[in-house]
Amino acid sequence: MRWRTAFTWLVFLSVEISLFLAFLYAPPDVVLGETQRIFYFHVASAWNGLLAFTVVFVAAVAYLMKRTPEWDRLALASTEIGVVFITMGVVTGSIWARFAWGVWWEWEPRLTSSFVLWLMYVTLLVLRNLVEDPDRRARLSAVFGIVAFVDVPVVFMSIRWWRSVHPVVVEAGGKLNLEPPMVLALVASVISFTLLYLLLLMERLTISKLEADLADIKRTWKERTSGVE
Amino acid sequence: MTLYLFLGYTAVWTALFLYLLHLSGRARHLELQISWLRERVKTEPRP
Repeated sequence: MRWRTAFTWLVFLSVEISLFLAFLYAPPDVVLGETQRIFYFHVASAWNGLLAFTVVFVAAVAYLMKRTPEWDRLALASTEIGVVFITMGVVTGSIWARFAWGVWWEWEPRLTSSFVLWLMYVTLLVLRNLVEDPDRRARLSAVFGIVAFVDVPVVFMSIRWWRSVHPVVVEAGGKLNLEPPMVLALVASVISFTLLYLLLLMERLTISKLEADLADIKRTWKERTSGVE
Repeated sequence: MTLYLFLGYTAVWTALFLYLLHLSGRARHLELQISWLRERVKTEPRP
C-alpha cells in the first residue's frame, strides 16, 4: 500500500502543478480573456473520458475472449470513471459555450456526438444494474461496450468530418493551434488528469474486489444457514 | 466574465470530490460488511 500512497501524492502534486500553470503561468486569451482557462480542464476531462471508454473496449474484447471476471471488473470501473469525466467535459464545454457563443448548447457535430456518447455509457451502467445473472451481465455489457465504442472515434473526428463551430485545437499533422505557455499548461492538465484517472481506476477496482469478497462470504453464510433447514 | 471560469472550475472539482467521496464511502461500507460477516461465520456455532 506504500506505493499507492506515494502515487496518490504524485497525483496531488501533478494536479497542483497543472493548476499553477493553467491559472498563473499561461497568459489569458486575446479574444476570450480569463474564461478561456476553462479549456485546460475541459480538454483534460474529455480526453480522459475517451481514454476510459477505450479501456472499456479493450476490457470488453478481452472478457469475451477469456471469460475471466477481472476483465469485466476493469470494464465496469472504467465505464463509471469515463462517465464522470465525460460529464465534466460536457458541463465545462457548455459553460465555455455560454460565454464564447452566447448559448449553453448547440446541436452541432461535436456536441451531439458527445451527448450520444454520454447517453450510451450511462445506459451501459443502467444495463449492468438490470441483469441479475453475473455471467449474462458481463457478456451483455461487453457486447454493449464494444458497440458503444464506435462513437469514440466519431466524437474525436466530428470537427474534421463535418462543418462544426467547435474550435480545432489539434490541426492536421498534430500541430497545436496555441501559444507555447498554453501548450505547456494543456499538456500538464492532460497528464495530471490521466494520473487522476489511473488513481480512480485503482480505487474502483479495489471496490470491485471487495464486492466479490462480500459475495463469497454471503454465499458461505447462505450455505451454512441452509444446512440448518 | 470570470464567473464562467469560476463555474467551470467549480463544476470539475465538485464532480471529482463527490466521486472520490462516493468511492471511499462505498469501500468503507464494504469493509465493515465483510469484517462483520467474517466474524459471524467464525464465531457462530455450526448447525
